[in-house]
Amino acid sequence: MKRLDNKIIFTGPVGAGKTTAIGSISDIPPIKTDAAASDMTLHRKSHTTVALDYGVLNLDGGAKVHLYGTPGQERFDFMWDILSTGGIGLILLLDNSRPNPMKDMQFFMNAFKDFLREAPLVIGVTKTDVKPSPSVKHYAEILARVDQRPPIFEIDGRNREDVKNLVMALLFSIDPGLEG
Amino acid sequence: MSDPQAPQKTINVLTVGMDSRKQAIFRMAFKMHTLHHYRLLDDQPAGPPHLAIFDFDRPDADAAWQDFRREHPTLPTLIVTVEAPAQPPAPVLLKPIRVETLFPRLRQLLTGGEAAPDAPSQLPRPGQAPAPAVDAPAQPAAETRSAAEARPAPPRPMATGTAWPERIEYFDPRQGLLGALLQARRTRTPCVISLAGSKALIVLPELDRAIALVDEHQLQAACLNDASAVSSQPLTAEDTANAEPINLTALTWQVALWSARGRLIAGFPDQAPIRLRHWPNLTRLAPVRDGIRIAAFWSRAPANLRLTVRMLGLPAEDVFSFLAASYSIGILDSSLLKGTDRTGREPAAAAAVATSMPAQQAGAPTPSAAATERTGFLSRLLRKVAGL
Repeated sequence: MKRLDNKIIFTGPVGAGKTTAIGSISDIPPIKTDAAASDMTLHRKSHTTVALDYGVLNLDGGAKVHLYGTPGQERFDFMWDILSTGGIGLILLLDNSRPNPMKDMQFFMNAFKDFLREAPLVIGVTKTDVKPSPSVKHYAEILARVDQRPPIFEIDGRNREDVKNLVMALLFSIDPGLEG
Repeated sequence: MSDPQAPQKTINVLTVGMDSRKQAIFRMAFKMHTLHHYRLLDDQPAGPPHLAIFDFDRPDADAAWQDFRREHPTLPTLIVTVEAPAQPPAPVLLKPIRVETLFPRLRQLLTGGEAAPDAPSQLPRPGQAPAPAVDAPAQPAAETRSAAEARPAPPRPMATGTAWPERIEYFDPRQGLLGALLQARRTRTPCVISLAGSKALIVLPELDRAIALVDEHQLQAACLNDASAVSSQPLTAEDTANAEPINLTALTWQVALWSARGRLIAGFPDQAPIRLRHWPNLTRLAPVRDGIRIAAFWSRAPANLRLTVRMLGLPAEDVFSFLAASYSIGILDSSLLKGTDRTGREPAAAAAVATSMPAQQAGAPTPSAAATERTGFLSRLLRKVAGL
């Protein structure tokens, strides 16, 4: 059996609402780790900023579930594997107002494909009020063509109920028989 | 009836046929449980017992049961045993006992809810007549708030082994307001739907929008009456409205829930495999109790209605409502419905779907400690998130 490290990974492009979503359900204010980091060997840049978001859910009995928001920039993809290893599941947030959110979806699903072989995926589409298209139905139909049926919901990361729905869908995707 | 989720006074539990070692196990389980305060009556004999746990694994179990029943003819009782008798006289919980299954059963006993035995047969609890066939209109299984007010209906503790209803109520989705909406969506024809001769809805299927010309209560009232006079005419240039358009899919989902009210779509075979083409956008749709759970189950692998009710331990009415809503917005995988497997066989794929509790009830091997621990952890996480 896959070992679980009590963590849920929030990923998605910059501005999709990862920090906000984590903050909606975390028991602590989300911690943003802005730090200078060098990735000169990769991009010939002297400095850049790594932003890792962190929140936590405290459970009965003292256990914790860690909520990690990955840096959205592709150049930090080396962190994604590290962060996701052993995770309970992946919550992918897509910013519908970006130029090509469908391509974003494909990119992140490909980037996390190894993780997604063992863990469930849930997709939250944000900013549909800014740009309604593509619709959630459109995303779902694209995925269904490759026999993928993850939960896909419109969400507002500021709305706790929306984020709760994402996490509950993640858990029931693991086991619909879970007792609440 | 008390709310099973609400903290209550101390619940005295009488154990029958248990030695101190077995009682210690329950004592530990009760200490770990914080929602209710269960207490072994042997520990502190104060007041009458509220329920009993009867260990049936003894040579003289039948005679002991008779003695027990003479003394406590109506006391809600849970039988615990390694192997259920063919005709268990009370709800059964199979050993090994897990806290995840124990407490839901105890709650069911306390609230008088359905507590079907693990064994194949079902018997009424003491002093309770068999449930009559339902003739009264089904209660709305889903909350009927508007999509705008939608909040996820919290998952209920699972009533595992929920029985298939003896009598099923049906409704015809082709009739009434729902029928008119489905027709408009199918033909993709802009139209005006009237209720009793008064214009009520402008429907714009191509845009997935509708404009309500009456308030929500009038729409709901029309759905409550299967014989409502509903008519539809093509949209004309004279049909205008100032109201804000609403999402047609969300409206259709809501109207389906209002119309179904826990009833099954007429003619829908209870053995037909069901699978969702994709998840409904549940954050923007009227809530259906345990909708996320049902959607997860039907997205994994095809499962018929009977299997769904049994595996998820949900009231059939909730499953029927979710089915009606899913059907109405067109997310059921119709290729399966047109398939050949309507013969009563359970789809193998669905039967293989691993869920935590049903596997236990089916007498499957006890999962590893790691698996049990994992399920327990995820359940705690679910409780936490649902309670946020």
